[in-house]
Amino acid sequence: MPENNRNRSSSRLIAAAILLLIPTGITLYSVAQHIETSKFNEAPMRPVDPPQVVAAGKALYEKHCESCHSADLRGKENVGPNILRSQDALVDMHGESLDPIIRGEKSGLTNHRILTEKDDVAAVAAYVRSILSEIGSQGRAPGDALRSPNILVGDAASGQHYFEAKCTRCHAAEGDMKGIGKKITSPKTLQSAWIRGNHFGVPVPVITATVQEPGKPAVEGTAIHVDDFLVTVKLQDGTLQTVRRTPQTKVEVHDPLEAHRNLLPTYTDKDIHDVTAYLVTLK
Amino acid sequence: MKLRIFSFTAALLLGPLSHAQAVSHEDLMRPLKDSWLTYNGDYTSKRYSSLTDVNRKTVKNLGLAWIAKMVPGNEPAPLTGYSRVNAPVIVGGEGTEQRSTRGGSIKGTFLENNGVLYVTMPDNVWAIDARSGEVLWHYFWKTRGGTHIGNRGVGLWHDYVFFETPDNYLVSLEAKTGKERWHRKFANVEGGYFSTPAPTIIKNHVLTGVGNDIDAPMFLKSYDPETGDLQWTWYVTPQNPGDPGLDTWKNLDAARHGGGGTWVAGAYDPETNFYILGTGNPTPSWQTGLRGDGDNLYTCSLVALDVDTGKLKWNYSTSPHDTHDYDSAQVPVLVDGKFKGRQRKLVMTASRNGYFFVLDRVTGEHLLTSKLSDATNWAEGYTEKGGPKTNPAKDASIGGALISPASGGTVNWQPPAFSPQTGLFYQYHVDSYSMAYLTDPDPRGAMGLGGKEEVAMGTTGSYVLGIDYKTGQPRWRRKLYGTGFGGGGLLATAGGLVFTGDGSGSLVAFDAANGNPLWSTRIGSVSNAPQTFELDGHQYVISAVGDTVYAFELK
Repeated sequence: MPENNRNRSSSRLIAAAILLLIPTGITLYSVAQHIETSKFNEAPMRPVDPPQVVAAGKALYEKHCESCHSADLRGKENVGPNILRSQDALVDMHGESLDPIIRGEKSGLTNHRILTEKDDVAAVAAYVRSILSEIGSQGRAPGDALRSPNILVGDAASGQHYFEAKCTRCHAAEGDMKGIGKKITSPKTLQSAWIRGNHFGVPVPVITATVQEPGKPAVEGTAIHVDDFLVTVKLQDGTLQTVRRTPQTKVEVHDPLEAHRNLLPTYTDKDIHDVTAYLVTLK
Repeated sequence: MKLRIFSFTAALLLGPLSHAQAVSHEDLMRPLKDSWLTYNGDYTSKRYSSLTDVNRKTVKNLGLAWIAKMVPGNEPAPLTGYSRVNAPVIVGGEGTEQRSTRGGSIKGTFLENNGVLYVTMPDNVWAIDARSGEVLWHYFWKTRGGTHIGNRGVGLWHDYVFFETPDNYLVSLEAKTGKERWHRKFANVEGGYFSTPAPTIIKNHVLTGVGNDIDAPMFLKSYDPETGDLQWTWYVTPQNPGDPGLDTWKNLDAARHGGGGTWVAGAYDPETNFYILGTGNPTPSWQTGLRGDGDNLYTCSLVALDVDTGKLKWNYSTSPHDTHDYDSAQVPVLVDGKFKGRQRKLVMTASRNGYFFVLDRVTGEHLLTSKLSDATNWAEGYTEKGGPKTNPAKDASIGGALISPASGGTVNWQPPAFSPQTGLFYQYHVDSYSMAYLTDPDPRGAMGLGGKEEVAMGTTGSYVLGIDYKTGQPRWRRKLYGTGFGGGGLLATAGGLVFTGDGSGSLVAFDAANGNPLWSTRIGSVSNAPQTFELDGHQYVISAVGDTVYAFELK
């Protein structure tokens, strides 16, 4: 949903981007793990139920509830609803919402008379709450962050063909790409790395700028800030210099990754999958 | 100084008699000029000010009037070099002291009335003297939780302030003192609801929107501004057998969990009495298995509601069957203008999904859809109704799908502006890319925004566009130096200017006609949409960077 929706998503994306640019093995791990696992929505914490009650509830759930609501509480279509996204379950603090449902006392659910013993009902509710507490941010189901299917769905031979046709002007399997499949062991991270064009194991490429004012020597250095009015560069001796732009000022920014980014619109998903399938073979 | 004493005395003398402070329906109906009384400036949502003192020629003389730093929480703010008094802190809320008391940054719209500015962060509202920046009062809400992502500002009506909290309370304060009048819970924070919108107030309706990331029913509620009584609720998705739109869902259970947040304020057309707003994405967001293949109404849509009854009058799906979390919760703008040679009453919006739309706002008739950039790749062609046709091949997949824009969108919540002088609609546009991986193929597992992983691949360009609504194509496209949105939205003025953050640390003014940069001030990353108002014959331009408000005037 929302911004975060918007902004949270984008912060995560930016975070992932930054992580990708830090060239260490730790980074590779972090990228693979970047899904948030914080508790859902910072909602008020429920009281923690005693483990033996939760365990008893689990056993009762398996016996009486699982056939309709599934072992993972996600429900079965047209049989039993998904409990994980049930408002009745989510708002429950100590059984006040769940108990009447389990006992078949909620209006519209009078046929849902699953358990009647007070302790049994309370135990099932406690078990349900214990699972709900594992829901992640933005409504992620319990365990969502741990799922990591194998993303290698491409064809290595086609990938090699693509690589040789399109990439070898700048890259070589026996050159800068040598051993890439060994250096980056996670295929997903490898896929990110080559699409972004960043260079694992080497410093992040530096963006430079050349500023040419009429009648003055050109100023060249690391681009620190560029806008329509001012340009700040870090000179070779480490000092900063800011130049006020006039219509006569010529500013050239050299971003080594720009050309690579500009390839983004040219890839098909099949190209991407195939190239990754090929690169993982470069051990 | 003399003026201040005079106005203060005048207010004391005249206040009780004339209600000089009170914001009436007539005030709220006026086009944006001296004051700023509702989220988008006026009910048309143009964010177009008819003030002209600051213009293409004079903007170079715009200089700092004052700075004010907002300190969230319930501790008295330390005095700074530019504040002279400790403003009273009024504490409300149903949370406990143990909850976090973060505020965040200013990502909303200030309201200005009679020399007082109202500014917010989540859980916090301040009244500020618009001439000096001195804080007059500070209201702090002790939260019970909820996602604290932003707050878009307050609503004003008569002598009252209204705002929403992250834990889903509508709170009403006395505008003069910040004293609480009442608060009403409109959704359960335990159920995953959280709230960011600025309430829109129309006649005697406080329109209250909401967000949620776990497949809960979304709605717009209308409250009585005097009593706080609930007047009506409009659900975005079908909730009962027989509800309209149900045939666009796989079944009733899917519709009831279908999302469609109402987290951005809309526009109001007094002639039809329609409140027109954009709705959020369907849920589960990234997988269609539980939702079916239909349009999933009325998510990702422009909808027109009768403001007195909350009844749906027309709808148009701007992202039919969304699968990328591309909320259509962007501000719709009402324009009276020529379209294909004919004078029409229009509504237009630039959606997060990269498309621009023009409709007839009386009938909902679709007039134009345009794609704003070649980068946008999630759709292929158009539906029968003229909306972008989602391409299932670009849904999140196990091997990854390269999508543009990334789910954050070509634009997000940032409000656009429209200038009747130029006929241009101004909005950000970011060509971002990400890989969308399906991590849980079980459709039952894709709750909320889960079941996927999204990894950023970079941005090929970030722009401000001046879109000609008649063609749907940008007449100008100003490249920004950052890779994200320029700032928190745009402002257009009759002085021929467009104000915005530039995405690289400055507040800037562009020539509204061609996007040429005219003025810039290095105050940091602008976090809300710049605004303007006039007091004592001075035109002010204000904007926020994080927790700090900057006011400018001609020097």
